[in-house]
Amino acid sequence: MNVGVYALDTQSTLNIYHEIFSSLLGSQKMKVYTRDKELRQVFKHSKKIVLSDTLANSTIILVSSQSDLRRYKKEHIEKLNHIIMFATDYRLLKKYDNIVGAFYWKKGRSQLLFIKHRLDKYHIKLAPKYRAFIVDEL
Amino acid sequence: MCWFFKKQTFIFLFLFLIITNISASEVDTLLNDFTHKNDLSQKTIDENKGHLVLFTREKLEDMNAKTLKDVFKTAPVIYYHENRYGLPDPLASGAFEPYRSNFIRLYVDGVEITQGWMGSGVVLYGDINIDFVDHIEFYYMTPSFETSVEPAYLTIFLYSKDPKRDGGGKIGLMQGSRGHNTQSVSYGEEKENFSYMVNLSRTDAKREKIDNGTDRPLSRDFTRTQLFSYIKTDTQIFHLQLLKKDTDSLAGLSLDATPLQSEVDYLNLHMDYSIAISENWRAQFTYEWLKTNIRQMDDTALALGNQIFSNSLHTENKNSVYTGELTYKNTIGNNHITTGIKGRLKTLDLFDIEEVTNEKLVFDKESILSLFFQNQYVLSEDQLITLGLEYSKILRNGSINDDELYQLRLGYIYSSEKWNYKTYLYRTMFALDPFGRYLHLSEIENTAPQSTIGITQEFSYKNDNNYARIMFLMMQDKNGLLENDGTGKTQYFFTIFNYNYLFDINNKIDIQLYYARYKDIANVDRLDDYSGYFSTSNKYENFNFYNAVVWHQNSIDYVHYFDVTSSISWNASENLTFTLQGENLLNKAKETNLFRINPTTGALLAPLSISPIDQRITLEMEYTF
Repeated sequence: MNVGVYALDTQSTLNIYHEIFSSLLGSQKMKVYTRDKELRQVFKHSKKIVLSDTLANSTIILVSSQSDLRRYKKEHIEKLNHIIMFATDYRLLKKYDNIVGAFYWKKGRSQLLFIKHRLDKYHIKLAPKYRAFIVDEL
Repeated sequence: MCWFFKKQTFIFLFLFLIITNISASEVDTLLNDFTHKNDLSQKTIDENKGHLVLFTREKLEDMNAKTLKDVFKTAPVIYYHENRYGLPDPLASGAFEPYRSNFIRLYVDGVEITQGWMGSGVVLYGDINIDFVDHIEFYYMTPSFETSVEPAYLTIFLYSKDPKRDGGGKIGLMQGSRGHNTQSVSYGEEKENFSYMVNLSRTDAKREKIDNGTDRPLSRDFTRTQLFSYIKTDTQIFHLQLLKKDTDSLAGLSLDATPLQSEVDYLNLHMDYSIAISENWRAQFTYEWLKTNIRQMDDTALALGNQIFSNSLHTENKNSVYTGELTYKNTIGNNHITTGIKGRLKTLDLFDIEEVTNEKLVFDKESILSLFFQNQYVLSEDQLITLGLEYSKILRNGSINDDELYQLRLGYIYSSEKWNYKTYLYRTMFALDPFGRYLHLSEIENTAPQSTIGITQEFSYKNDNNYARIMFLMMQDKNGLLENDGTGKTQYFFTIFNYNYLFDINNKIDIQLYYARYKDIANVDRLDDYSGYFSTSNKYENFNFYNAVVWHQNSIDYVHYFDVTSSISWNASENLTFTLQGENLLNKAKETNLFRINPTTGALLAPLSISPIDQRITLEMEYTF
C-alpha cells in the first residue's frame, strides 16, 4: 500500500536548485518563496537558500501549480518586477509570460528549460554552460 | 601579425568550445543525479521485498512499452507465455489445465489484483495497457509478508503515475499491422489537499492467426476496454478499476485445437481503499468481482475439468473476492517490527452451464486468514537481518479439507553506497487454487499443499556509470502442485546476471543473462534453460532510438529464438511525439507447444508451436496538454 507524497532526495535536489538559483540571481541572495511542501522541506536544509514567507520579500518565486499562479496573479505579482518567477511544471510556462524557465519531469527524466526573451526582460544573462537549455520561444 | 591573431582567435575559440562542452556536462551530471535519486521507484522499492528486477519510468519510456507483456517478455526466470485460451499464463504447459500461474501475483500501487476463483490477477492483467504506470518492480522468490496475502514465487508491482510529475492530459493513438489499434486518454491533477488520476484505454488487438490444418485457423484477437483511476490524500487512497475483455480464445476446450467456436468474455471490477490510521496503524480493504462468459463449440467432444460435453459448452460464472488487512509498524531500538492480520474471502457466486441442468455448487467458498510477523533488525548502518513468519488458515465449504500454511523467511542484507549483498532462506507452502480444485473435485478435492524450501544470494556493484548484479536461487518442492508425472520433488537452480552501462545521459546499454537447471519437472529428468536480453537506448537531438533482442534456448529442442524489437521516436515538439516500432521483427520469438489429442482415438497429435509475441509494426502518436 502506497499512500501520500514521495519525499525528495535532499542533496541532489539542493545541488540542482542551488545551480539554477545562482545562475538566475547572480550575487543576489536566494530568498525563495514556494508553496510546495516537499521543496520547502528540502530547502530548510540549505545554507544558501532562505525560505521567504511573503512574495514581496523574496528574490525568486517557484510556481508549482495553476492554483499557485492564480493566487499570485490575484496578488498582482506583475508589479513586483524585481522578483524572478520560475516554474516546476512545463505547462505553466505557457500560462504566464513572466516565468523565465522551468525545471520539471518529462517521461521519467528531469528537464531544464529557459526562455531567452523572458530572461532578457529581467536582464539575466546565463553562463555559456546553459546554452543547450535555452530556447528562443516556446 | 594577421596570422598570429587568427591563430590566437582559433585557440581561443577551441578552448571556449571545450570549456563550454565540459561545463554543459556539469549541468547534465546534476540533472542525471537528480533524476536517478528522485525517480519514483526510489520511493517504492523495498530491498527487503526480495530480489528485484526494476523497470524505471525512463526504462519503460526507452522501451516504448505499452503493455505489461512488452516488459514481461524481457524478464528472466519466468517468461511471458499464453495458454490454450490465449490468456497470459507464464507457467502454462500447453496442456489442458485452466490456469497454472498462481505462483505469480500482481499488485497495483501495493494492492493485489486477484481473480478470486482463478487465483492470480495475471490471467486478466498480464498483458494490460500500462499507460497509467510509472514504474514496475519484479520481485523474485517469496515476497515479504507485509504485502502478500497468498504466497508467490514472483510478485509484480505496478506503480501508477503521480499527477505532481505527470499532471495534465495525454492522448495516445496507435495503429499497427493487421489493423491492430489502441486509443488511450488520461488526465491527472494535484490539488491543494488531494490528487487524482484517470486513465481510459481501448485496444482492438488483431493478432496473428495460427494454422491448425483446417480452413478455420485459430484466433486470439480481443477487444479490451480498461479504466484505471484513483483519488488520494496524504493518508488515504481509493482505486477504481474496470476491465472488459472479449476474446477469441484460441484452441479453447477443443481437444484437437479445431474449434467451431471459441470465445471468452470477461467483465472485471476492482475497488480498494487504504488508510494510514496513525503513524503505526494502516488498514486496507479490497473488493473484486469477475463475470466470465464462455462459448465453445466443436464437432467432437469438449472437456472441462473431469466432465465431458457433447460438442458445445456455454457457461456464465461470477465470483467475488473480499480482502481486508490491518498492519502495525513500530521501531523499538534496532528492531523494525511489522505485524498484522489479513483476511480474504473468495466466493463462486454463479457457475451456470447451459448444457447441464440442476448444477449445484458444492464447493463455492474459500476463505484465508493470515497472521504475520516481521522483524528487520539493524545490525549497523549498512547491515540488517530480517525474519518473517506467517501462518495461514484456509477454510473451505463443501466438505473439502481445510489447509494450514506456514511460511518462513530469513534474510541478511548488506547495503553500502557501491556494494550490496543479500541472502535469504525460505520455506513456503502453496495450496491448490479453488478453480483447479473445483473442476476436478472428485479426484483432487483434498490435494495437500505444496512445500518449497529455497536459498538465494545476490551480489551487486554500482558507480556513476556501471551497475552489475549476479543472483543465485535454489529451490526444492515437496508435493508439487503443477500437474506432471514426476515425483513432485522438482529441484530448481537459477542464476541471473545483469549489467547496465551509462555512456552518458543519452546513451546506455543493458545486458541480462539467465541460466536455469530443473530436475524432475513435468516428464523430464533434467531441463536446462537459457535466455539473454540486450538493449541499447540512444538519444540524439529530438530523436530517441531503442533496439533490443531477447534470446531463448533450452535443452528440449536446442532451438535458438530471437525476439528483436526496434523503435524510433521523434519529439516533434514538447507536447507531440511520434513513434515507429517493430516487434518480433525476425518472427523468431520464443514458441511454446500447444498439445492436441485426437478426440476419436485419444492419441496425442503433433503439437502446435505458437509464439505469444506477434510480429508487428506500429505507428503511434502521443499528445500531452
